[in-house]
Amino acid sequence: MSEWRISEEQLHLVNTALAEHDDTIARNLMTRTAQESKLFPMLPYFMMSFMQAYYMYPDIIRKASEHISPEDVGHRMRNSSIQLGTLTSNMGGQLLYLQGRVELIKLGVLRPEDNLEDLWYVTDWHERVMSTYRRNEGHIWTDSAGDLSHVLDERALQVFEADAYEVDDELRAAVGRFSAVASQYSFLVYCESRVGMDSNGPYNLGAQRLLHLRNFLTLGESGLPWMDDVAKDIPYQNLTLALITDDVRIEVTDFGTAYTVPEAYQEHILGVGLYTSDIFSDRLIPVGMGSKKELIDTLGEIAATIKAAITPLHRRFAAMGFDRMTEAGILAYCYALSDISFMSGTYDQAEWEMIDDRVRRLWPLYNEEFGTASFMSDYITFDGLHGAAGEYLVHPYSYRQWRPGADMELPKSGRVAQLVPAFVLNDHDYSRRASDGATSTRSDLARKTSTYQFLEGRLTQDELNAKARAYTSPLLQAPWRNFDDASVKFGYGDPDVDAMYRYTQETSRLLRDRGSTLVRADIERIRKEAGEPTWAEVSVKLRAGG
Amino acid sequence: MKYATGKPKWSFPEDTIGGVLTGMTRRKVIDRVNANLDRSGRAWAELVNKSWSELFSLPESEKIADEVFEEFQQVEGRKFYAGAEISVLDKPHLYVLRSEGDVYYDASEFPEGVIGDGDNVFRADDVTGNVLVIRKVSDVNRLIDEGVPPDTIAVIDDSGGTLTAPLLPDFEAVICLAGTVRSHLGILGREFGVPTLMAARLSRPLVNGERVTVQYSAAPQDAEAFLQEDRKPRAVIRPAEDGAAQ
Repeated sequence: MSEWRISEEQLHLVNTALAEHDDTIARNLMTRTAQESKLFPMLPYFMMSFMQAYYMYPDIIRKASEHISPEDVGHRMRNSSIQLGTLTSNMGGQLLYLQGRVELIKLGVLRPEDNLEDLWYVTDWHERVMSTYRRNEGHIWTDSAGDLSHVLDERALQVFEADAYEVDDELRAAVGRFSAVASQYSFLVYCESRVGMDSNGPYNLGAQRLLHLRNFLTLGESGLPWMDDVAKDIPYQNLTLALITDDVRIEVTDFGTAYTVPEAYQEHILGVGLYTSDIFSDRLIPVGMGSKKELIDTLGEIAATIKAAITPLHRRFAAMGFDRMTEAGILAYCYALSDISFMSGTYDQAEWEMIDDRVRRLWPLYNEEFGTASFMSDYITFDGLHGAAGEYLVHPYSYRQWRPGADMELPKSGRVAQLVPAFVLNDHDYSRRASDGATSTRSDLARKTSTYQFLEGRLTQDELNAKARAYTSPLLQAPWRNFDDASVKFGYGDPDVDAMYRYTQETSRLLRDRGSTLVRADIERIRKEAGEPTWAEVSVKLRAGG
Repeated sequence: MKYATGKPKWSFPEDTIGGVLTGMTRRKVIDRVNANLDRSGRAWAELVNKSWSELFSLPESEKIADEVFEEFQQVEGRKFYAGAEISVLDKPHLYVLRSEGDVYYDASEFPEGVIGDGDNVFRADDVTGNVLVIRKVSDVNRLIDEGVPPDTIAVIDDSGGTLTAPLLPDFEAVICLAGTVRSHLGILGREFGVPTLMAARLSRPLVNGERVTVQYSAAPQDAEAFLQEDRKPRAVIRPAEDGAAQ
């Protein structure tokens, strides 16, 4: 039994985090499309996955944190494109967990001061992960940054800018086909959700040109049991498209989704690169980047392989009943955080197939219509018996919709956040951890039997955990760990900084061994020396119609 | 400090979107939990985790679910709406498909000769083709086996991207009766280059084999137009000049 007690300082930090989550989730959910699927019962699984995460995640994070710190997690997310990115670390750290807490409070089976040690632990973990992940820019949420997700270090961005191939009709078609098939497959793998796709950027390339990255994640055999066999021929677990565009406005939300204006951005693509990575790599590894033809062929081959997996996967889901589909949705959503168990070498498949009995007890209530209605109540209308936050509150987001002179009533004085009451500091009479007394039941889905796909091969659970415990990277050790872009600004001549740049450039086709003194003008020169146009030249050509 | 009553000083009626059902359900659960707490004579913190089933159990949840359904039917005069077909197939006593309540608009809302309209996802050439209504997983399975006929304009009432996942690239075009241009189906239509209308409104049902011409050459809809009130004109759906399909 934990004897932990919250301090006044921690209480205020927790409540500040709850308010920031409130601001972020309210805006994102009010401006995105409704959740809908004819195939999957989405809202029942959404709402129950939130509650599952509430009960499940604190101990998953504690177990992983015995081996890797939140800062280690943040560094590894930035160095490679893995399942844990903008969307999933937010889901894992706050979105799912806090949304589960809100729903349980509004249902009356939880009180705001409950499981306070967990609440502090999870919010603190998320802040530490995200502030490390985004240390080059400084915001925790992309919403606070105006929907910009500036994550990557200059040393990586320079490689993407230099190595991308100029798009011609054939490459544009190959990229379009790959992106379409991979997006469609990803929606299916993740039960109609966006958990398998993540973006970051945009990054400034001058004039009207931007670079952004689109990640397609967990494509192969993984801890998602329904991927066994269906995904056995997919050659890569994670793939990243580096896209250079001209005259396209790009925003990346806290859900990791890249929105563009114009929406049809494909005709504005100037350059493309393709990469892979996983938890055992600390750099993005080029895929099919030996020549433009190789890239076109590779994109085509991967798209064809993924396309072939769509129909069998569709049939597998279509054969499930309501309860199994709901279980699959819960497991898929909660799997968002799985990389911390993989990275820490603490992955246990059974844990990711369990559903807490405290969620199971609520199963009969979460019919499709109540799922939708409670979702709206929590995040859109802020109503409910437990929804008010006093009689005087003005919600910062819904207030923006209010207009004087239009005979509009002020919005309800409700909010998403359910702040922790300060009386807890008086007698500390609150439950500490949700895991006290927890029981779970394994899902009724077919059990996973295959291996897990990584760059190092198809590994068993024991093999991957052993490899993960043994994993090291010079980018996680001093002095490289502590060289961010602010360090490079004045320290680019430091031999250690130079060595770190050369390490990142090792697999670059145009920047290998160029070192740390490069600036963007050098990249234009290097491309010209290699017989490839600068992005300004490509832009002029595209605008001229060819 | 302990909660004296389990009832907050301030609260809102659950009277907004879907509020009837959340109000019914949450009120019953909250009352049950409060009653169980009072009866136990124990502190909340002791019950909430270690003795959670004493606070609220699966059988109590099942009982409330039954009560709510009965009360909901009395108030609303219908079963629960389902978005997913499996809900109706598995639990027909509970659900009716939301899309079975399709709304048709008065023909006077459209220009003469126009059957309906929708938000264009991206600009393409106009398409004339044969309507194929796809509502069910069994429709998809049949088309996987038999192939999608040429010149098919799929009419889909689901804005998700998974129902028609195996088929989407094979359609000539899509008319979706739900969603927005940022829905998953809209995103995929754009990615695949399959002309797509989202949030389509119809004055009457479109029927299989009917030949229509859709104005995919219209300007694409602004995704955030619902906030900015600067919506682009909607693309229209007309009967094809060459008549019905064979």
